[in-house]
Amino acid sequence: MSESAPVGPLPANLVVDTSFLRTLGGPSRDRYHAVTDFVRTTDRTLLLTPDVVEELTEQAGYVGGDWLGLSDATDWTERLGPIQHGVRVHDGPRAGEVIDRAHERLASLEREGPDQLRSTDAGLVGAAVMVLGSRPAETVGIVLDDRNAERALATAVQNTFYEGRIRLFDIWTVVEHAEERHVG
Amino acid sequence: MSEAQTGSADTAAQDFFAVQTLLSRPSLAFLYTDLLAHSPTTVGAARERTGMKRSTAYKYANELAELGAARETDERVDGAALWQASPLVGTWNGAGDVEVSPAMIAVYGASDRDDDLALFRDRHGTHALVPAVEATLSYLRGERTRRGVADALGVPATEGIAVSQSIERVVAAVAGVDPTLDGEAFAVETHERTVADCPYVPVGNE
Repeated sequence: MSESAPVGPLPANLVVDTSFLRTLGGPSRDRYHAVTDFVRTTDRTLLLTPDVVEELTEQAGYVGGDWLGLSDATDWTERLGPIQHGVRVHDGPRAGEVIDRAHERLASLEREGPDQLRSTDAGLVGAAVMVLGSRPAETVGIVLDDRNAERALATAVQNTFYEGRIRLFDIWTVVEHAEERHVG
Repeated sequence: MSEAQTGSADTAAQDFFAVQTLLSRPSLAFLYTDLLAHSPTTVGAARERTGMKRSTAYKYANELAELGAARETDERVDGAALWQASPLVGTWNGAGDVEVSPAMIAVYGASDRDDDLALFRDRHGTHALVPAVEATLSYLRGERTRRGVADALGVPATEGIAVSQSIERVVAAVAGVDPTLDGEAFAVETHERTVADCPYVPVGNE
């Protein structure tokens, strides 16, 4: 489940889902500027998984911001490489195992066979493990606007080393956090 | 057939034609939804919320009265009559059942004013809004993810996410006046800022 206030400092690395970027909108929205200014001025990074990049490429017309352009032109929006399934941190499960757990939860929710399900949602949590394992970060955030996926991802890291280190945020928690600190 | 049965059949037929008319005219559906969500309300207040011209709003209100979807009451506020819209609910029994509800009418009414709904409607046809509403309701009931909505509709993920987000805020705006969304099985936990993005002015935000 997403975290309720007080949020405390948002992690420096935020793995962002298409659903978040969609609701955030583009430059015509005040909240877009609040979040991008906040990220830029506080040395945070928005991270795009390969699946999210594919979705943004496939249907850019449904997304207000030019996130792929920003990932090419700035250092505060970044494309992640392919998820390394073997990565683990401390005694936590490997990224691939966490992805499988999330995928099973999602398949159970959707009442679908795991093979029938897209891997994008589960990939967010795998990417978070990879970020924890490859960057000097104690926590990493995942931001999305999908309460059901959010719940499944939170369950996948429960009772593992990653609980509390991989933090799930809904869009409005992040937007309001950024707006409170927005000076632009 | 008894008088009571005749009356019931008349009401059903009237509702059928009202729904059929509303689902072919987005602007009329938009005003109907606004009146329903804010009932009782004046046409002048509805005009301000919807941004419609005065003459258009009164013309549409009278059309809604003729359809039996709304009525002018005897009560007045500052000299203006209060209007009361009634929720239209029905089931179309064809090859499969389609439940028509205020939420469905509201989504159709919003499809001229919400870019993502308009794009979805233009790409897939007006009829595609029906399964999109049903899939979004299952998301709101906690039964699938937004990408699951995309799968159910057979559209790319981003499009499924977009249309479910647009429909979610419309449903949240009318949930309180839609009898089909009543009960414990349905609880819209939509953030107030999501609802604020809706083309309809939420109740209490006038």
